[in-house]
Amino acid sequence: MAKQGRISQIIGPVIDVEFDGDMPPMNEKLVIDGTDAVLEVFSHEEQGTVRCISMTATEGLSRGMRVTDTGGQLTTPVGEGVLGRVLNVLGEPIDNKGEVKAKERWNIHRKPPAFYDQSPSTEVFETGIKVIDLIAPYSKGGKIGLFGGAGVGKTVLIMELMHNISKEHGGYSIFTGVGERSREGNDMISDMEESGVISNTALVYGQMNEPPGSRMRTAFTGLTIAEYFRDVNHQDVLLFIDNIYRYIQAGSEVSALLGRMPSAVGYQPTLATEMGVLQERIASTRRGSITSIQAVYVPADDITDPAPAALFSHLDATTVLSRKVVEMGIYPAVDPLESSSRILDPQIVGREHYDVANQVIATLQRYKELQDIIAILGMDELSDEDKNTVFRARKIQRFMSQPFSVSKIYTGLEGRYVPLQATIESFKTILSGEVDDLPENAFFNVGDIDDVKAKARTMKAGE
Amino acid sequence: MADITEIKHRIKSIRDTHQITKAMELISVAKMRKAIQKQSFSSVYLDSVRYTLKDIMLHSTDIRHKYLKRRPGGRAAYIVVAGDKGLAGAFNGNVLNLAWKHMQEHPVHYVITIGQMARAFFEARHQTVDLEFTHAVASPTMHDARGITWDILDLYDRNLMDEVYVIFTRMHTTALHEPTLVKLLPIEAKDIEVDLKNEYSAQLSYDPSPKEVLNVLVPQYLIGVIYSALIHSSASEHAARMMAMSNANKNADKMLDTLGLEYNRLRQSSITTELLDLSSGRFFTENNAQQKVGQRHG
Repeated sequence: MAKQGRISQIIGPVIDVEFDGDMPPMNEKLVIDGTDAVLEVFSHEEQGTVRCISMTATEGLSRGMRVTDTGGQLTTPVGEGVLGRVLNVLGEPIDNKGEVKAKERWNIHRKPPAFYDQSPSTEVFETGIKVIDLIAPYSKGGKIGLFGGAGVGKTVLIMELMHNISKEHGGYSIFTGVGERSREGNDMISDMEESGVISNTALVYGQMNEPPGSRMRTAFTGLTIAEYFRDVNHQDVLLFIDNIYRYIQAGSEVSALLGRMPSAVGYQPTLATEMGVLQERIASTRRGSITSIQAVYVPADDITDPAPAALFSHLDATTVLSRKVVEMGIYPAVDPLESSSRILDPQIVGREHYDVANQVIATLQRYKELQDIIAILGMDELSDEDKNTVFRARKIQRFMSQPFSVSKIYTGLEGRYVPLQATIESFKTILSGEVDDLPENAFFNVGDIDDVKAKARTMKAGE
Repeated sequence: MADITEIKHRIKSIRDTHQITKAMELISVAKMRKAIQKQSFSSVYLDSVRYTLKDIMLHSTDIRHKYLKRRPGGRAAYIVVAGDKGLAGAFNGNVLNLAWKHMQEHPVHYVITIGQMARAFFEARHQTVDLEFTHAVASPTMHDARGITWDILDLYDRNLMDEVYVIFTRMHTTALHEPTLVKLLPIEAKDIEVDLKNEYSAQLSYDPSPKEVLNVLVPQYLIGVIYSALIHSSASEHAARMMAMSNANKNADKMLDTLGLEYNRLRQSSITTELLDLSSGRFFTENNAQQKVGQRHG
């Protein structure tokens, strides 16, 4: 006979349940009789009371309702059976395609791989996006963060990455939507069905219509599916999370209700722990790897906000999207001076790539330094050398834009996948001054340097 | 990015620049006035030299002078007048680019620079500078002009060049100055920019003879053209610098305004955040203590 208790208090998504005698252990899954409501035990209070977070909406619940302890944790189906399916936080299908046929279900709370099992990543992972491959190259089995304020194109970039990677690399990928727009989730599902990549993809959604409990746990559900492929099938999988900030935000929504004192900027005092619990599990072992790409919302464009700051130290590569770049009309709006990668090292990417990337950064940095002088005194006061730097930097800035396959309907331009070697050659050509005579606009929204030359020719012919 | 110390730093550096540009504007105004005055004094004399010279050249037959004779060969020499210093907007760039363009048309040429910016410009383009004069443009004197003229005539006399051009910035008004190319040698009547409009009914007679007068006038004319080029260039430079600095001041003021606003907004928002953190923390601890007390008694 399962343990039974009753609801003693409901504060929004936080529900207290009173048990006579033994209390269910932490992270236990409870269900409320006669409803679909699912709770997870979060803390033990006094006198047989457990404080729980609801995974489902709490409308219609009342004090005194009977609660049953399921004797286990939240689980999700894992394995090949989940591919092509869309699940929610509880591992239930939400795509109206019937039962998920999976042999196994795993608990969503798991231990991270042991220290000696982990393997550091040292292999470049080509994305086909020029600015990313050059300035902040991703590593296979690495953790990558895409930082950006509201509306700078995080979701578009993550969709393009999924598109490029599934086309060029194959393999399984898991997409986890946390607290973002439901419409985007819908678009993504239909896009994937159209292109056929959905058969190699599992999707887990807990979007912004869900209560905080669901948004706090969706990432774990997606991660558990990825871990199965890594640990049991020994595969290299891709894990996309959009948006990891919503996970922290959900935690902060319930933190005060759980009786914790708010910390800086109103975040939960356990911010770093919560981030660590999730991030430590996203790791690559010697037998299989998880390459994770996580979008991170930056509140008020302030990257020093505690939530994004807590994530920084976990990442191998950071791609920072900036509003200043958006204002120039450049997409993807990657800020090359803020973005960085641990593997941008001559030992890993090679001397040529390293040198070109550093020269590009140096040129842009110099341009940034000169901008105040230009704003006050004008271009005429610059030396010839500085003028060259400025013109090249402006070309480099424009050349960092790239038409995306997923945004073809907005831009009307065919998406471009640029191989890493072509990217390096192209930037090298700009730095060498070989294309100084081409107009700036020829560098805008093109693929490699041959495209620039072709566009310059058409522009000239059009005059 | 929202970084309060970075903004503070930028405000300080812009304010420092602003101080310099403000001082430079005031100095340029004073120097420009002086230069314009000098120019108007000299132009009276130069105009009458020009007038007389042209009159003799047009109306007297049988005049011969070594500086009036055309030489075949086409070896050109350019006297390029620019400033000694930058920070004058497009002043140096405009005149130097005009010179550069003309030089491309004459494969064989000599370059004589007046002013450090001119020398630096040609050096950067790997163009040999054959003769250079510095410190003559800041505040030109007749003495400078004379020295430069003798040096050039010496080279011309030694038959090293066939034509000599002066490239300088002509000042029309404070706001309008244009780079100009003037042919100095050989002297031709059509190059002398003066109108003989008040045609005398009677012909002027020169004493002792037009030829004698011409011999005296030619060097005076050459010195006058050089001096006027220097003076025009100097006045233009100061005017250009004054305008450039006044623009810079405006830009700096605008930037200080926006940065100041941003700085204040950031400071206020950080104060608000801290207050919020404090008060919510206090609210929380007080509430919790009350609850604990309530539970113990209830």
